Amino acid sequence: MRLVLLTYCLLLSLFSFGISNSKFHEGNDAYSHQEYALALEKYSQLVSEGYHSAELYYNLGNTHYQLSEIGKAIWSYEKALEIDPSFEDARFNLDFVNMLTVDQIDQDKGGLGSWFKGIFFSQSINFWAYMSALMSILLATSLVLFFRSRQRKLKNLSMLLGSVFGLLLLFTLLTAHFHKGYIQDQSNGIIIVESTAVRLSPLEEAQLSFELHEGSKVQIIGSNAEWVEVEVNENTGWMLKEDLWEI
Amino acid sequence: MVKVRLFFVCIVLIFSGKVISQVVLDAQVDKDLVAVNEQFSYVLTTNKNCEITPPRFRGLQVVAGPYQGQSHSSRNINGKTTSSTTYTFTWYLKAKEMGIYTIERSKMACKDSDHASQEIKIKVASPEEINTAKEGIADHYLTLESNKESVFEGEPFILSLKFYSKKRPQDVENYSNGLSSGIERHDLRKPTDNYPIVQKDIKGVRYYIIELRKELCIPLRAGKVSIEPSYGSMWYEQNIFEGYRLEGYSNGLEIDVKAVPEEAPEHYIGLVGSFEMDFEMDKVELSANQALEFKMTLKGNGNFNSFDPPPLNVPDHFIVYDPEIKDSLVVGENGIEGTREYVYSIVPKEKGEYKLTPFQFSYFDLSSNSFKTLTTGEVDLIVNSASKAGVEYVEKQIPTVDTTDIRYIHQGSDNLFKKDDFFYGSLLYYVTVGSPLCLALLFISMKRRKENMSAEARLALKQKGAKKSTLKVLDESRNLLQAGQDQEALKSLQNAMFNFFMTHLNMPLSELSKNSISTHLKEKNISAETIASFESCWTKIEMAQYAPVGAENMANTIDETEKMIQSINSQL
Repeated sequence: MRLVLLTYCLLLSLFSFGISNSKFHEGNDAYSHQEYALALEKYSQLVSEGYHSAELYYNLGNTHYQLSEIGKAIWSYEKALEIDPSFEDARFNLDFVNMLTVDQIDQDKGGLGSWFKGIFFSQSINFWAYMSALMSILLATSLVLFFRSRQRKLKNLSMLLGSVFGLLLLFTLLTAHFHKGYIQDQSNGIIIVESTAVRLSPLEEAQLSFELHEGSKVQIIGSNAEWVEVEVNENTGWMLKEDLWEI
Repeated sequence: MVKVRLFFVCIVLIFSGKVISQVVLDAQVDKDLVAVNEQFSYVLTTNKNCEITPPRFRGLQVVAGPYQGQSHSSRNINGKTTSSTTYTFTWYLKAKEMGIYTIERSKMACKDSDHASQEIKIKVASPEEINTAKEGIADHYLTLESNKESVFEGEPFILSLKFYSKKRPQDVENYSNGLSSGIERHDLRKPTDNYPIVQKDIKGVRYYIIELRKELCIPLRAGKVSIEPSYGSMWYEQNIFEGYRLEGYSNGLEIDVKAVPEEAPEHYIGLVGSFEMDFEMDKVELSANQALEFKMTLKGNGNFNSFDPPPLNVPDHFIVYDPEIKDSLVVGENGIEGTREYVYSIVPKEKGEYKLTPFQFSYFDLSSNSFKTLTTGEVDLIVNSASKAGVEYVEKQIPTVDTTDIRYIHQGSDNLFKKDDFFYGSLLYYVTVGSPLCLALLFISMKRRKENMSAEARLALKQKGAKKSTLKVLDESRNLLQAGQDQEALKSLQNAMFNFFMTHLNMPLSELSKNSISTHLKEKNISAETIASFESCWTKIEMAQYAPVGAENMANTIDETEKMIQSINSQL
């Protein structure tokens, strides 16, 4: 009985995420009336309040695009895709906006990794956590059934179910762990200024290594207070932190 | 006398030996007039197995062989048995060039004599010569025919491969095309079609003519274009069980391809035939950096497959992407007919008002043997200033042609969450995942402990529950009493008491009696008052079994028993 109650509570909390925020809709209204600056303000407020969602970042990306802020638009689409890798519209708009960038960056699209992400990371952020809780309950039930039952058939069945649920528990735990890590990890960045210099060392007067333009995606290797070390097309260098937004 | 007889015997032996061992070495070919690359066989036959030196086949190519064969025969005439063995050696040959070839003698060296076969002459002629020679004479031959001997570059003509045969063949076995270069060839026969057979008199002989292949050919370059001989083989029925094959090579062809007249207009891109053009633009006004779709449809009959997409005539700063091509073309005897659609995406980069002539090109019209020019005419295009300032287009491929803007925002549920909304990693999460497992383990360990308990402990546990179950039975008997079932109530009351003492005093049913129970209770230091109460209850129940008591009395007994049991339970 207690277990049932607990599950119920969990499911209830899952639905509570669906409660919408009025600022999001205010932003949408502003966007549909082509008041992009207002829309940007509304969406940005939500982001600064610590809210995230694939849809929020997607709409924010569209707003940035309408305001001709290509770098920030790309950043937003990347954020949206980080939360939901199977977000088709965000992928489309990202590809579209990427065509407007100047730098040709090698990007790893496709492959087993993105396939895995597309399948397992496109659910709600707590999906796998709930699934693992459910698996734990099912595993516990099968264990109890196994020790209580006297019939051989029932014992075998519960043993089989128990091992299946055990494996699923392990799998869901790991996936939940990696999903959270994937969303929280910030190892990439997007250039948000028109152009920025990448230098050989983190100093204003250091020698220029190469230049990057708005919208280019870079990998972040390290950072200090003002500078961030980035890697692009297997070249590394330091650039100002303020020129880049982390994904 | 003896000597003379011996001489005769020797003569006879030698003579007969000579008859038996008359050595034959014979050489034969199956054809003495062959086409270039046509295969023929050379067979050596002998009746003695001696060492053979084959000819060197100068100028000829050995395709396969020698294959050795052997046949044995014996016969009996007037009781005299003679036997002979025939050996054959077969080579398959072909000639690469025309001319007359001589196959020299084959030699065979036996112990006592040397032998040689006859010389053979082979004529290798052009297929045409052979066909002409064969007309009206040969059992079968193949021809390759063209409906035109001279064509313009890009002008279609039809090739047909025909098999001529005196006897009606049963089945088409195989055929293959000769090589050609500079020609685009399209098979006109559908795989499901039958092979048409017609009959025709040629030089007074009736032939069956089977068209094996019909092709539409379009020459791709000017000059002499040659088509090498094609091969065909047919299967004939001899009787129900057996058949045989006839095969051969056709003649080759040379087609004279004329170049289109020198004075080709500027916009000539290699189109030959007759064409019409139609075009469509999805916008006449747009802003810079926006894409425009330009659709051009070419309709007609001609060499659709052998020219590049026509270039668009637009200012340099217009970006023109490679067109998407949609074909609905049919290959027929008149050439390639149908429509081809080119869809271009154009992105103007600078604002302005343009008068464009995007398309203007010429083709060579075969019906009039002259060039004709098609044009879209002048088109007005207004390009406004770019709507997205600072956005610079660079040369990259647009993923989908008909989309020129980003997709619209999502307005449904926002699915908002905060970073601390992560359930995974929170204390509640660990409790939620851990508690069912902990509960299960707890349950299992409790069950284990119960199973491993000693007999006394188990009894103690049982006794603990005895009072509860007895009181429950007492309630039941009360209910029975109320329902008027006195006897059942009494029985249940008695049972309750028996059960209680059986478990508490650990006595079997047979030993239960008023005295024995009282003794046991005394041993367990139960107060005398309670024991008295027990004895009174026992007596009353016993009495009730024989003499009916009133319901009220019965109820009192039940109450008394209940009190007594509770009292014993508290004192134990």
